[in-house]
Amino acid sequence: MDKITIEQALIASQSGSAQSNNFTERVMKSIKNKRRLTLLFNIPSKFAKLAMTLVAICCAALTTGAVYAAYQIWLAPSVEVQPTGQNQVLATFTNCNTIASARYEIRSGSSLNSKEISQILQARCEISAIQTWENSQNTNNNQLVLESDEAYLVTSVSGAKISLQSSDLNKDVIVTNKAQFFVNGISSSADSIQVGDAVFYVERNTYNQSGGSPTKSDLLAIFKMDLPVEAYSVNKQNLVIERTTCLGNPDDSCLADSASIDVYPRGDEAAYMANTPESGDLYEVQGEIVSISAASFTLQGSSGALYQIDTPQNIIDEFNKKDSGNYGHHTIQVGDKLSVFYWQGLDDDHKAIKADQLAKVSLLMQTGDNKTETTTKY
Amino acid sequence: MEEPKIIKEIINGNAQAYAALVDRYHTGLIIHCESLVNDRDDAEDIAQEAFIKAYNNLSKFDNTQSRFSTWLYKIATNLAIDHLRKQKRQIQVEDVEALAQTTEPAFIKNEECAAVRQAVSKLTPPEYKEVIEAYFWHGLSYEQIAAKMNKPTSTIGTYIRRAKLQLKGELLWTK
Repeated sequence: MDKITIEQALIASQSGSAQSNNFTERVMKSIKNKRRLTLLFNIPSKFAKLAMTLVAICCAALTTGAVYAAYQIWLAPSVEVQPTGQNQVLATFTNCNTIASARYEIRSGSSLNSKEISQILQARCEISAIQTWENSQNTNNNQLVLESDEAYLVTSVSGAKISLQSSDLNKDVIVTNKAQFFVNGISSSADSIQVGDAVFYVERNTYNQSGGSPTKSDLLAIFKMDLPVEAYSVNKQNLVIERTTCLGNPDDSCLADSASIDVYPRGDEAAYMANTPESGDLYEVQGEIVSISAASFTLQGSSGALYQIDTPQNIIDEFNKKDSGNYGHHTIQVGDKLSVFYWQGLDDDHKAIKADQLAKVSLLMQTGDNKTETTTKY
Repeated sequence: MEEPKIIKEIINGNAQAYAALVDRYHTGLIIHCESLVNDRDDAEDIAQEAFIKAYNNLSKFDNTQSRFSTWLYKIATNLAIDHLRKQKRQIQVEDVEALAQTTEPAFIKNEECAAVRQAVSKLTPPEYKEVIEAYFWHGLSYEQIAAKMNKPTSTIGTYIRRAKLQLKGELLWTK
């Protein structure tokens, strides 16, 4: 194998993320902004159906002296939830992109009832629909931004100025004659927005060539939402986590996204890369630790199946002794929940993982249900 | 979340999942572009465009043929060549491609990674360690490092050149 350059070695040894999060933010904003309407039809899943609903359904109406065609950009979604035990529900969706049903885990200790869970999931459908609309409006040089992941509460409406409040931000937006208004996905007029409403808004930002903060922001649309503002809040949304089939292990389910602490390899992307083989597929399991020994541990997946995982060294003991202090002194014990990724061939025993097949082990964590609460073990 | 799963999520419509890939690769990609076009601001623009282009074509990416990072860097190299052409610079594509190889993504073993980090920790004077970490690991530009260390930008360049020489002496498996 050819020698690598010192620059390559240094880049490959980078540990964790770099500090320049602004770059990531800029890229993500550009991605949201530059997606074209035609792209909607190239993405097979969530966007196609909503693109088709982007059709005028009503005739012209007369409001504030202007003729506009009322149209509906999403059909009102509804969600039915059915408890399935172990803090989980099966949700069945109507008019939520292309999602028909999905399984969700409710954070233990939370006191959500079925109605609240339905609302949280309905809110997700609506937010996704707004994002889809936003994408559909983009042309080459537009800079559209859906501000905030959570809804704002309208605190005052004074002439052209609408004052908004989120959990951590106050914001005034100025309505111009180019702004559009939607109530539950149906086009409406400015006077539909009232104090106490839950809204999202989309702006068109203008940047100078070097990026950075926008030099100009124009209000493009305000969406008045169907549900109380709390249903759209990050705090509430964090309480309901989707469970999907574990990668390669369809009988077990895994949290689709969860906070975690790296146990092996330790916080080092290069080390993960080094564990990536040239062939084989990535498999995943999440489960509760039922036993730990010096060179292995056993997990019980959601189906009850046991997974024997050999480790190259005593990774759990090493984490507890050397690294736990850097992570809130959380130590790993029997009963804790781990996520394990591993590389195997199709014919391997997917419940017996050898040490050299191990790609990543993480301790599953959960964030607090408000911004100040400490992260705890899942 | 692991890379194949992230890519699957993005293709299924979760655009936000792409942020994890941008976070993971942007420092190295900007350095790669900077080495080709010799300008930090242009390099950041090209890296940004490469990420966007990769995103828009992600459904065509075949992860059985190459790693995402290899594909991403190839996109960036082509954009850099286009950029140099637009600037009407006299370039030989072969030269740029050869230069591109010096900063293409490499995959090193755990022990090599540990050796690099140890060699960096032993750099003397300690300012060399500081500039290498800031540039290669924290994603800062020469100008940002210069401002942080209260030194002229040209000094940062000198520090990095000398530090790389020291590291090459220590890490004989590199060139």
